[in-house]
Amino acid sequence: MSDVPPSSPVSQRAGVKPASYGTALLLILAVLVLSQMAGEALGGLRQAEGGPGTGTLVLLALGGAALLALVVVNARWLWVTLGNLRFALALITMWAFSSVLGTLVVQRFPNQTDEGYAKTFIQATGDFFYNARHLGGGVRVRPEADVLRWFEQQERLFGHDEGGEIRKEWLRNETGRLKQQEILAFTGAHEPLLREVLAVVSWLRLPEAFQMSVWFKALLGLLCTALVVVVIQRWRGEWRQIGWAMAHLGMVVFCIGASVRATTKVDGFLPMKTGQATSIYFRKVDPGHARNDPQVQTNANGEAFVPTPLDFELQLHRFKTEYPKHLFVSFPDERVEKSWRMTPLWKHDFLDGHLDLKVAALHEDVAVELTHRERPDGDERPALRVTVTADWLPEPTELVLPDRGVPLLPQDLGYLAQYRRAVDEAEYEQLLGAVGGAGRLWTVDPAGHGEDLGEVTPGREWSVPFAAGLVLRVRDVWPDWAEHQTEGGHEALPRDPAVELDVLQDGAPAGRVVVLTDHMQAEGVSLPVELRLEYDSFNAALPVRYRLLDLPGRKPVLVTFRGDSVAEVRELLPGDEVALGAAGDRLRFEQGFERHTSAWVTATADPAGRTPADMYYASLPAEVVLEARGEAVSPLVKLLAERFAGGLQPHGAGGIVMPEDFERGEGQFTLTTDRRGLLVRLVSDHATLSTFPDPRMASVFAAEGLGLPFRLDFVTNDRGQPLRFTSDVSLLRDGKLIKRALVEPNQPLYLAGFQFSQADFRREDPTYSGFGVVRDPSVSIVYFGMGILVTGVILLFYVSPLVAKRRASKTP
Amino acid sequence: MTDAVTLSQYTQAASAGAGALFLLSAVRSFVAPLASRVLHKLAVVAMAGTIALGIATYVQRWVDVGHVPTQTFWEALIMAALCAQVAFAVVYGINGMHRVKGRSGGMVDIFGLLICAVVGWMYFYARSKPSMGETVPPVLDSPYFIPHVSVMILGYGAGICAAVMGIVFLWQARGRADVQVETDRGLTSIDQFCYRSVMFGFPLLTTGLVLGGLWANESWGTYWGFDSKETWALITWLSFLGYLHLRMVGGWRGRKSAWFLAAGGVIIFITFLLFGYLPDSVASSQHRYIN
Repeated sequence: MSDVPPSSPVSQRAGVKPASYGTALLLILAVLVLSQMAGEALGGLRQAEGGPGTGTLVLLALGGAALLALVVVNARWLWVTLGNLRFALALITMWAFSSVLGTLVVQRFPNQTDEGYAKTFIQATGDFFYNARHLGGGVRVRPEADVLRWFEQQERLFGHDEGGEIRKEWLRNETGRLKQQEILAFTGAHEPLLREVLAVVSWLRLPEAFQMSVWFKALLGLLCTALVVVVIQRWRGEWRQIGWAMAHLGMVVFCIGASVRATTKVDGFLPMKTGQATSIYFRKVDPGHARNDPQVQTNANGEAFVPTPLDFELQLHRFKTEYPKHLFVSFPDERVEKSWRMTPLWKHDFLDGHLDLKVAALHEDVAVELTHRERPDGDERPALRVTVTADWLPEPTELVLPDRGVPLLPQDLGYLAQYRRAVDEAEYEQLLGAVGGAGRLWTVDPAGHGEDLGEVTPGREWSVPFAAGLVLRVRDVWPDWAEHQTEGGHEALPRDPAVELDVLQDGAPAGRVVVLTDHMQAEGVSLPVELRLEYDSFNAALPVRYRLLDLPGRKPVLVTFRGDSVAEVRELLPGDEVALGAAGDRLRFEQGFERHTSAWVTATADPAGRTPADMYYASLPAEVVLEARGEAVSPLVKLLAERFAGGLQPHGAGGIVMPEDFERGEGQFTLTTDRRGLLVRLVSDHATLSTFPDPRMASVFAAEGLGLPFRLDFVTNDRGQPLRFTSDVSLLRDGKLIKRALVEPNQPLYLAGFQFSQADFRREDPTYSGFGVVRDPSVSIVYFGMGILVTGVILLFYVSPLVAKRRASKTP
Repeated sequence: MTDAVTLSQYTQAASAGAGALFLLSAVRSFVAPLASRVLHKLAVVAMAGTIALGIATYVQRWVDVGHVPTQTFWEALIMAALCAQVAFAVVYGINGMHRVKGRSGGMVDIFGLLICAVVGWMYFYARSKPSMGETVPPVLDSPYFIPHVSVMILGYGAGICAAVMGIVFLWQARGRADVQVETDRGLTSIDQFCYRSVMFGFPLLTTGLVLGGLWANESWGTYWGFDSKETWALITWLSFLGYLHLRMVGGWRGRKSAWFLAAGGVIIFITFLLFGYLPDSVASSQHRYIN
């Protein structure tokens, strides 16, 4: 079955024998070499001083005429040969052979300098020779004992399959690394030989096999000629031949397009930074021009560029490299961690099956808010919610001031503000008019229970419990014990507050004791009790101090102290705003709480007023809810189950919430519905919610004997491959916006025949974006040719045989 | 739900089973052929089962990693194995190989056995490669990804079938110019089987090259970058182009063509696996898996 006549009817008609395969090969080789030589000679002549002389032109004309005459005289033979199978096979042979050479010899980029190319050639060819000499691998990796132990550990922690994978990965990386070292050494040792090879190869013009050579263009030219000739010769006008003709002519159109590209294609690069606007890109040029043109710049790879203007402007508004968010599972005791990209179906088991993690939910674009409210039960924890506006804050910030908590203290120490709840009317009156004492003295027993001995004021005395005749008398109070011997000791910041007490035995000095917030130092005497200082930060010696003071059920008042005396007292209603200090700081009172509790609430971010692109560039965090089961978490799960069943409602307890609240987005962890596992919420890169358990919680668990052997962190992993990188670009002409688009790899931007592709990004510089700039009007010709070629081939090999088969089955 | 790696091991086992059945059937056919060809039919059913498992592995892998599973070397090998088997099924079908009987049936069995051997080798080689999924780099995130890669690898699968068929021919011909095959509908030639394999695969390779060019132009701004992988894909295409011209125009049949196809098989091997070691590839290939 053949849609093409088997032998050459043309040759029979012409009475001429076509060239044999060997002759055809020689003919093609001759044409290629001579055309390459002619091209180089003409190129050289054009660049020569004063151009080609008259004598040269005359000789050229003579040679050209002789060549033309040769063709004319042998026209019949050439016609028959060009349409002959042997010539076609010779062309295919030459094309395949030159292609093989092109992959064995490192090809030079059109704009690469000699040094740049030499470097690449030596490195790549050395690599190849090394591999050729060491078939089957030249590197044997033998993991050391500590690596083998690490393998075992990985297998134990992450499971058998994962352990095997880690082993393979390590071996692959190590083999690659060692091999690279070997290759570098090999290449270095053989550099003189490689340079000789480079010289020979360059001498034969092989580095420019395709992109820049005349002979490759001549090969394509011969190919097109043969294709056209064969279609003309063998076309009989039959339907069956359409596929065959299209396949051949499609190739011709493709080659025409490819040749046009060589002259019309413009190729370049455009590096930009966010916020920048430019209308100049860097066009790739032949480094040969570098000598003549001062504008030509070379980069680190030895490629030459010329700044070239566009007739429109590009503006880069935003650029984003999106990295995947990974769950890091670490085992602090073993100092091991591993990370995974979170997908809705992810699950994994660890620690020999003692820990099972599974994704219960995964949400993109969430927003987290810290909410404050009254706790329905439990201890009294009065607090005030305020909004502070100041130079030293990036924006008006909501703060919660707890009773006797750390005061609001700006960096310039102009003032401090503290909230204080009085226990009764008496204390209220006292605190309205006086700064108050330095704090309270407590005794603590080994079980951690304390007893309040009373306020620390200068000269106050106490009898020491369980010690007859021993009396303590306040000598001095220091805001920072480390500074107690310096000149400004009393004005220091309260970093390590201490009260110095004289110890008297029956009225006579018996020693000294210094009581700090977390320990006690006794000198010359031993005391039967441990003492602690609960320091009142309000004592810090600042020029201005503000006390927000209230009683249960009473609206708070603001007492302003200048030095030690009261300057002002005013009532505060919700919404009232007061000035603090002399630098324009302001405080607005929002709300008071009797039993303050706060909780993180996670919800889907509100896209109102934002386009999908805005949402993308906002880089909002993601939320993953994990289900954790297994022996590793069962002690904690059991305890929580008991407590919840016993009616305990955790509020603000380090992220533990009731399941109903967890479902609404509150808190960080709770029990699963069957009360046998944990549900943990992690929000990527969040200061608090990205880690479980957080260090404070972990130490609480450990203290209660519920220590978790693992830690989860959900963070953006910018060490690996990015998921996406996108530039938000505007094209403007004369200041008017023509187009605004997002450019990504595989989604280029087109204008005025130019194609801008997202080509480059830099990990260390998130404001940088590199674009590839291409203009190739010949592309439509090439696409057209490709389309005809594919259609022709499909018609020829799929459609025609089916049609023929159907016809054959019809005729008896 | 089993994960893809486990499924791939089942597929490998099924392929080995199909290969064993083909071997048994071949021995039977060469020694004392049965009219019923029971063993051969069992082998074909096993092959169909292997293909079904291969597809299940591919789909499961897609679910496991959350994107088109042709990213890592392991995934590429698994896909290539599947495509070789699918190509076998198509070549088997278009040649009506189920009609081959008598001693000739043994040749079809050897063909099946060799394809199972190639597939088995691919799975074996894949075992030494890390099977963890990797993030798809942005440059591969394109609607062209699936069509280009699947058409190309299926084309290579067809080429491998043609090469294996050529080897069967050479082994059976032993000096003769042609090898006749006995079927229910009369005599045909293994040479015809080879030819139809190439007829199936050649348009796939052509389309794959063109799709690659279209994708490259959108992604890199050029439809042909003279990248080593592209060039070797072209060389593969040229080798089958040569075969087609020799056969359709030059009337080449039999042994000469078979050697050509065997050489084509070697070229496919280089294109798929070895190209990464060639110097121009080391210098600059966009297609390399080796980083």
